[in-house]
Parts: sequence; C-alpha cells; structure tokens
Amino acid sequence: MNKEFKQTIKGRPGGENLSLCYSCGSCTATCPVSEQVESFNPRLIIKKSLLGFQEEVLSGEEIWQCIQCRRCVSACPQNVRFADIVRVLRELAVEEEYYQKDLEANLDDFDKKVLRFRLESLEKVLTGDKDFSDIELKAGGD
Amino acid sequence: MPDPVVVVGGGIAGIQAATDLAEMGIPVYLIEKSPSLGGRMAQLDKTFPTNDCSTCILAPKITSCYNHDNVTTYTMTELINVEGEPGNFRVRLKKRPRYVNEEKCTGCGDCLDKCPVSIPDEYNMEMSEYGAIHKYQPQAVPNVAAIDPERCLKLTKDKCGVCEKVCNFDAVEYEQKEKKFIVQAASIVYAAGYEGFAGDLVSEYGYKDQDNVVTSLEYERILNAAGPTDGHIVRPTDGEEARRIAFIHCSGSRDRRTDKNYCSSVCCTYSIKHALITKEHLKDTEVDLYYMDIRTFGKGFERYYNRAQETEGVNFIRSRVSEIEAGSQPGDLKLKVTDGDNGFAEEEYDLVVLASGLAPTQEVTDTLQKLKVRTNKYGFIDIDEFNPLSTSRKGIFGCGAVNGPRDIPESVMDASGAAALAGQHAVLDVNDMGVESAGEQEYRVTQNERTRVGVFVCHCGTNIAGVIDVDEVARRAREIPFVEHAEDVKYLCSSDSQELIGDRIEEHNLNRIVVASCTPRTHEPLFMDAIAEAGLNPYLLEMTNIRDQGSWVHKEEPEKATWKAYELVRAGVARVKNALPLERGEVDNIARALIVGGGAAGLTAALELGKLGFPVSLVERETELGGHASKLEHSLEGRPVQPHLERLIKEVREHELIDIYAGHEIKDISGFVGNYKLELIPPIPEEAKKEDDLLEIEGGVVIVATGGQEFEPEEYSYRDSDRVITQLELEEGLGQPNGLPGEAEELEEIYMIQCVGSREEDRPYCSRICCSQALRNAVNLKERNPEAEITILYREMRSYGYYEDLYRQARDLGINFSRYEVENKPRVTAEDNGRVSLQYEEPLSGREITAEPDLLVLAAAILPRDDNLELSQMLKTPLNEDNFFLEAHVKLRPVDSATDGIFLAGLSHGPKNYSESLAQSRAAAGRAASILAREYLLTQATVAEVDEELCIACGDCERVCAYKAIEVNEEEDVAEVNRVLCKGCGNCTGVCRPHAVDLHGFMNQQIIDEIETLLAEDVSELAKSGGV
Repeated sequence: MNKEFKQTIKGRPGGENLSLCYSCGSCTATCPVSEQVESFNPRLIIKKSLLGFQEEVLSGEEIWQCIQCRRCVSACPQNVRFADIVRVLRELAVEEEYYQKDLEANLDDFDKKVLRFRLESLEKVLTGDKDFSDIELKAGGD
Repeated sequence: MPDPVVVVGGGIAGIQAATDLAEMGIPVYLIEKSPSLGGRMAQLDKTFPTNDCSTCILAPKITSCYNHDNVTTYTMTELINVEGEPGNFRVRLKKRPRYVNEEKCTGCGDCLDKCPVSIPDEYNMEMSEYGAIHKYQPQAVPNVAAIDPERCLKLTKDKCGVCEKVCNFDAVEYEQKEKKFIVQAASIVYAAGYEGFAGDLVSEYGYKDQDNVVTSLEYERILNAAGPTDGHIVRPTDGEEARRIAFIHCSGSRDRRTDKNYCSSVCCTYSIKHALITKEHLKDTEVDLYYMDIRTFGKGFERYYNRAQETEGVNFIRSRVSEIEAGSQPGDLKLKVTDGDNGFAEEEYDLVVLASGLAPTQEVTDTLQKLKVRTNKYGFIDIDEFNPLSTSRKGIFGCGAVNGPRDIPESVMDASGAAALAGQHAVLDVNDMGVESAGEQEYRVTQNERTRVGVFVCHCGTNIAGVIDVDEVARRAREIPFVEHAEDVKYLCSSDSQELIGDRIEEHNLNRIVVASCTPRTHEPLFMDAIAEAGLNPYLLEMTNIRDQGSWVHKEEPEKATWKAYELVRAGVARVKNALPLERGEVDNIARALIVGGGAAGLTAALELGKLGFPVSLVERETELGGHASKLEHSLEGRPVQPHLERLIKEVREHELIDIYAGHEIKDISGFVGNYKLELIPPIPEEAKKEDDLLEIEGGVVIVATGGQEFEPEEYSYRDSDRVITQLELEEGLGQPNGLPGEAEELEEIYMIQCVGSREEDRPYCSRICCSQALRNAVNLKERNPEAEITILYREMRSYGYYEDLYRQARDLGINFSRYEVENKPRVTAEDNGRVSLQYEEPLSGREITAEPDLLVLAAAILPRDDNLELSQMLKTPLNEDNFFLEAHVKLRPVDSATDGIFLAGLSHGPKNYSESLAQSRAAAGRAASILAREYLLTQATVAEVDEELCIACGDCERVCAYKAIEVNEEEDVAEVNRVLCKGCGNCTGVCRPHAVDLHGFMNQQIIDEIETLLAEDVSELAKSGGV
C-alpha cells in the first residue's frame, strides 16, 4: 500500500478531485463498459487508488477498458471526474513502466478506427443494402 | 396591552409561534399567502416515526390558533416590506382578493360543484382538479371558498356568475379589489416554509417524460385517502396497482450539480415512512429504497429504520441511482444502479418515487433580501450557531424550514424559541400581561326547572338536507319526551341562526339543547358560545353529527339515513336530559420559572425568560455553571465555544431577575402546573448540616435541562491504551498543552471509529452529533498537520443539513473514509509497547487493511444521565425507552413533557449539538412563558369527581391515570381528584368497581341512557313507558 499514491494522482491535472468521492456508485451505474464487463468498476478503481493499491491499479487492464465517453463525469454528484482520473492513471502506468509508452496513443488511434467502422457500417444500413447482423466485426483494426 | 407581533407563514411553524405569542398575551397578526392555514404539513398523509395521520394532529392546532382571541389571521396576504426599528416596525401587507366574503361564507360548499370551470388542484399537487371557485382543501381554515381570478368566467369574461346565484349568504363578491395596508409590530417572526425540489431537478431521473416517476410530495397525496387516487397506490399512467416501487434517496440533495450539496435531513426518514405505509396498503408489493447513507438521526428514528428492515420486509439497497429510462413494458421504468457494493446492475419498477429535498422558494429568498435579512449560499436564512433563530436584522426572527432543512418537531421548537425572542420586543410591562381570568359569567339557574329540551336540525345547505329529510327529523323530534321545541334551520352556523337559538331558548324557556348538524370538533365552541349568550350554561349542549355519520356515509339510502338521524337525535336528547351545568375552576399561578441544570441549555432558557420579564430560579448541582459545554473546544462550524459560554454565564449572573442556586442538590419536587415546589439541599458540609437547612423554592413551571453524559467505551482497547481516546477527550486535549499523547502537529496517523455504543442492540439510537463532531475534529487536526493521515471508519455518514459541506471539505482535505458493518467491526489490539494495532475489512474492495495509528479516537455514544430515572419520578414525568425525558408528542409538542408545566431542553431530551440545544432552550423559554404570563390557570370543566361515600380507596383509579391526577388520600381513605391535572379522559370511571368516580359532562348515567335509547327495539313502546 502506498499512501502517497492518492497525492500523486491529485497532483496531476485531471486527478485533483479524486478524494471528493463518497463512493455512491453513480459512475459505475451509468458506465456502458461496466454494463458489458462486470469486472470494470469505476467506483472500485477510485477506492483502490485512495487506499493506495498503486501496483494493482496501474498494472491492471481495467484502466485501459474505459472508452472515455465521460458519462461518469456528468453522472457524478461530487464532480470527481473519473474519466480524467483514468487518463492520469494511464499516464502513471506508462511512467511506472507497467505498459508501453505508445499504448495510449495506439488506443486513441484504435478508438478512431472503431468509430470510423461504426460510421461506415451505419451508412450501409441507412442506405438500405444491409442490416447490422450482416456486418462483420474483424479483430485488429485495419 | 403589549405591542403586536407579525408572524409570516401559516404552516406548522407559524401556527406554533403565533399560538405561543398569543398565549403570552401578545396580539399577533398571522399572515398566510394561500387561502388556508396549514402549510406543507396539511398536505402530508402520515408523519414519522409514529405514522400518525398528519391532518388529524394538525387540525386542532390550526383551529385553536385561528380562534385565539389574540390572533388576527390574514389569508391570501403577503408581506411587501418593513420599515422602522425593532419595537416599532411598520409592516406593509398586501391582501389579494378572494372574491368571497370571509365573514359571510359558511363553507357550506353549495357553490363548489356548480362551477363549470376545472383547474388543477394545488393542494393535491395538481394531480386532480377543482373548480375556479373552490376550497383550498377539504378542511380549510378559514372554512371559506376562494375564486381563481385567472380562470373564473365571470372575472375573465363577465359570463357565468353561477356561484353568486347559488350562494344563500350573498358571500360571493366579484368586485373585491387588492388591499394594501400597514400594521405596527414590535417584531416579526418569519416562517414562510419551503418547497420540495422540482421533479426535473435531476434531469437523469426522467420526471418530465415518465409519468410514473413522482415526487415525494405527490406520493403523499397518492397515499392519502382524500387524495387524487382515494388512497390507492396506483400508477398515474394506467391506474394499475403498483407491484414494484423504488424510492430514490437524495434526489437532488448532496449533489453539486444542482447547487444543493446540503443534505435535506428529512428525506431518509420520510422515505422509510413511505415504504412502511406502502407495505400497509399493499403487503405483497416490493419496496426498494436506494440510498447512500441512511440518516435516521432524530429521536426514535433509528428504531423506525430497524423496524422497516427487520420486520416489514423493506429492501434497502446501497446505491445512488444514476438514471431512469423507459422500461420494457409501457409505463415501466428501468433504473441504472449498482448491485449494492458491487458493480453495475439494472432493475425495473412500476412506480418510482423521488425523495425530493427541501429548498426555500425564490420568493422567500427575494423577500428575505428585501427585508435585509442575510441568507446563506443556498438561500435559507443565514443562522449564527450561537444565536439560533435570530437573523442578521434585529427584531426579525426565523423559524421552520426557512432556517434550513428540518423536520416538523424541529420547526415547532424553532417556532416556540422564535416566539420567546420576538416576545422580548413586544412585552413592555410584565404586570400588564395577565391575559386569562375565568371571566365567570352568571348563568340562569336551571337546577330546579323541569327539563325542557330544544332540538335544532341543520340542513347544511344540501350537505345534509340533500340526503336526509330534515323536516321529518325535526317533526319526529317533537314527539320525543322532554322535547319542548324542535325545528330545522338552513344553516345553523350562520350568525342569524345563533340569534335564533337564543330567541327560542327565551321563548320556550329551554334548558337543554341538542344540535344535530356537523362535527363538534370544529363547531362545538360556536354553539356553546351561542347558548351561553342566551344565559344558559354552555355544558347543557349536546351535538350529534348527522352529516359525517349520516348524509355523507349513507348517500345511497336516504330513508335509512333519515331514520338514523332521528335515532341519533333521540340518543342526544336522552343524554342531555340529565346534563348538569359545569364550571371551570381557577388556580393561582406563580410567575416564576424553576430551571433544573446550569449548563448551556439551562442558562439559555433562564436568560430568555429573564429578558421576557419573568423571575427565574436556576438550580445547578455543581458549584460551577456551564455543564458539559465547558469541555467543548470548538463548535461544529469550528468557532471557539468558551467565549460564548463565558458571556452567557456572565449575563445570567448579572440578570436581576435570575437567582442562581449553584451547588444545590434537589431533594424532592412536588406540586403541579402553576404551583411547583423544589426542595433543595444547600452546599453545606455534611457535619454542619441541620434539619432546617433545606431550602424551598416555588414556581409555576419547571424546565428540565440536566444534560447527558458520554458513554465510556468498553471495546477497541479504550481502557488498555492511552492512545485510544474519545472525541470529547480529543476536543479537551486539543485545547490544552500536552492534552494529547503527542503534540497534535506530530500525530502522523490517526484513526477514528464511529458509532461506539450507538446504534447497537442494547442502545438502538443514533447519537446524532458524532459524525459532524468527528468531521470537525478531523478537519482541525488536518489543518494543524496537513501531512497527517486521518481515516474515519463509519457505518453511515450522518452529516445531515449543512454538515454535508463539512463532509465534503474533509474529503477535499484528503481525509480518508471507509465503511464498516456492525457485524464486522474493526479489531483493535493494545500492543506491549503502548501502541495499538487496528484491522478492518474495507467493504468495496473486500480487502483486509491493517494500521498502527498514533491515535485512535472513538465516537462514544451520548447517554442519558444515570439519575434521570430518579428525577423523572420526582417530577412524575416519564422517560422514553432509552431513558431520555419523553416529550408530550414527538411531532407537535417536542419541548413539553407529558406533565403540564414541565418543559425539556438540551441533552436531557436526547442527543443534539450545541446550537440545537440553544434553540431548544429558547423554545422551552417560549413554552414556559405562555404559562407564566397568566395570572390564573383555568381548569377544565369536564373532570372526574369522586363520591366519597362510595369510594373504597382501592387505588385502581390511581393506577390507570396517565396524568397522575387522581390519588388515594391514605389518611382519609378516599381517592381525590386534582382538577388542574385531570384531562377528563375517563380511565378512572371505567375501572372504578363501586362506581364512585364519575366524569362531569360524560356521566355514567348519561352514557347508559344514550346507549339504551340507541339499542331500544321498539321506540313507541319505550315512548309509552316514558323511558326514552
């Protein structure tokens, strides 16, 4: 346990409001990723960060599962801004060498591709030549 | 005559303040914006934690306030501005036109269903409709209709005019205009109330689009039998019974997004009430409460919560609801939540109730600004915690929800306290105050007359006559033995009918009267006055209710209803024929208050009474004044307490009307309201004591302000380690050098454990102040040493009201919070090296956390004093199950004890913080003043009387008397009634085997006559035998 961990997060832009959390769970209840993956739990990530479980939080894959939709930010009654905290945690995870430096950039790039794929598929469906069940999802982007 | 006081707001707070002031002999102008008194409380179905019917407990209070000789009520009236100084304010008021003459309208209702226009019913939260002419609510006070000028066809288009045509009293006045006028006032009590949060305050909850999402005030009306669904819990969309209902706590409260970070304080407990009432209506309906922390911090609330959880099958789910969407079936609702402490979940419901918080209306905030009364950032009155109920403007006082979110008992306390403060500006000469004397009127002597009964049957417009053949009832009544005269009258309550009754009494030399009309609850005083005017003793009246128990309930069977009305009249005659004239007695009242306890509560009560002009004797066991408060380092807002306490002591010491008996023990207490006597043991060394050293002091009232004590923890190694201390010890330690194990600046790791000794099986109450106290102490420690790691282990964070801001501040400073469950408490071990180690399981992560804190601070419970039991026996006033002093009524009489003339203040009544104790002490002073201001006390006329010949001194009556009003005199071997204490409940008459006790006004013979008449099978047979 590293009691300095929460201070480190609070010291970075986006992490300032970490300790304002009163663990109500609004973030988790509104999160589309949590809806799909039971293990993804923003409230728990915040609690673990506050308790100082630095290694567990930074080495875990959860912080990379966030899709940055920011629903948690608008749902939070205390303005904790989980989506921003995740970005701080990713930064720290890279600095502490749990993950490669360019992971975040790659992930952003990947998200863009997913978005482009979505838009293209939508266009096909809307112009009427397909329905969603016909569209193939291929792993690995390109 | 003292100068008048203006009370703004006719809800429960305003009504209490007005009544207390009026009882002190001060004229009151009571201003209410709406057409009826009652405010929010009148809209509630039931009240927590007793589930009493709200209207049933409120209505008598409204009526007695409205009818009080010293109260002038202006409805539909608003305050425009205030000029001048305390003692001489000029208050400018505006009265909107009602378009109905308040003097002429009898509230008969003839016009109501004739109105062709329908408008949303404001009283029912716009879930039903009433006419453009309507009564604001069925039990409106004044019982007068009002016209909505924006929707009335006559007033908007000069058409219709039906209500004017059908009114038999010429009460409709379309030409009424707005009136502006000025009243002089010594001071002003502001009690304008609150509004519930708008349903769409949190847009994610879909109130606008989903009709099956309702607010808590709307749900109150749904639950109410007089509400839009007749008390059936059905969905607004399809009228189907709700099978799954979710209640969402903190709907808008504790939320930065809505600019309402405060906790609304009442929603947790009212939601539990909603859940319990729902279960009562629909046993099999699933009731789920979504909450963050259950804040049942008030007196008796924790037991209410436990009951809901343990025996009523209500589900409590720890999760804030993030959003509400349309569900899978039409009308259904999908909630996005967490699965308790775990991850994402969604649940579907038929109906969702938003536990909406309390906010001042914009109008209230604007008015306060105009009055130059400072408001806080939330728009409530800015309260000085050391001077609660005062405002930033001298001579203006606040009470009720304008002072911040609070429940009914706190609002009532506020009101009595504000009355005590406002009265200080109004009362100029204490000798001028004696308001009540018996005013004994000479009545005609009727004892030796033949019984001649007059019967008056009321049509009540069509209310009764529309169903019951009143002419037939009156005609038949003439045949009843002893009836000299009987007639039917269109409206008995109109003023010319009162005169008519007087004329008939004279004409026929009547000496008993039966009025067959509506309910005695509202109308008995009127008819008693009417016959008293005619020189007849007012107790020679009997009312029989042929409306509520006749025409209203037997609409479909008019013939049977007519027969029943006749039978009720017959029973009334049978009962009244033996009625005796009764008189109220007069007892001297000693104009001095006796206050037991010289802590902050007793001192405050003494000072306020002294300022009102009443002599006070203050008794304190210790030689020093100040009590528990002398240990407090800082208030919950972080201000030093001692300067305030020292100033308070100084003012009390210097006040010429206050005598202080410090170091005196109480040996015995005797007497009753108006005449209490305390026997004191002066501080004389044991060896020097003599028989006649005992000191006696007398007064009209007693205020109990004996305080409480801190629990001495038995767990968490409190006794084994110097590093484990209580919150109070921490406060004391912070105030002195070397007061703590290590300097505050050097303590690096500090843990606090909440609920030590509270909310447990053998002590199932919340100590109320510990959460905010821990937050304040933690913030203080953190400010002294920002590097310190402070962790608070709590079960439920109960930082109610504005203390929620303190909770946020603590989190912002980096203080850690972790929950623990009562079944899985933290484990603390004292180590050999003098240190302690601590282990607990963090529930969200499920991890076992260990620590070795430099200091462990325990939030020890607040206990009743050990000697409460002894004191309560001396006072003959009961304690509650936790041994705190019991109030007369948890909702509406929070400062009165069950015994007349004994009032409660501070910790002796239950856990509360410093500021709340001061407010309650001011309330105790206000309540005490309302009795002390009388030269005489009047006893009730309907009291028990013992026939000494028949009494066998068995003591059964003494055992059943709840008021200690009847006692066996051992010397005379006979039971004796104290007419001051007797409430005329009749318990003693019921148990008396030799029938020696009888109750005036309800004599056994009268009741037997009444019952026999009702049960007689053949009336004509009975009539012949003359035994009706």
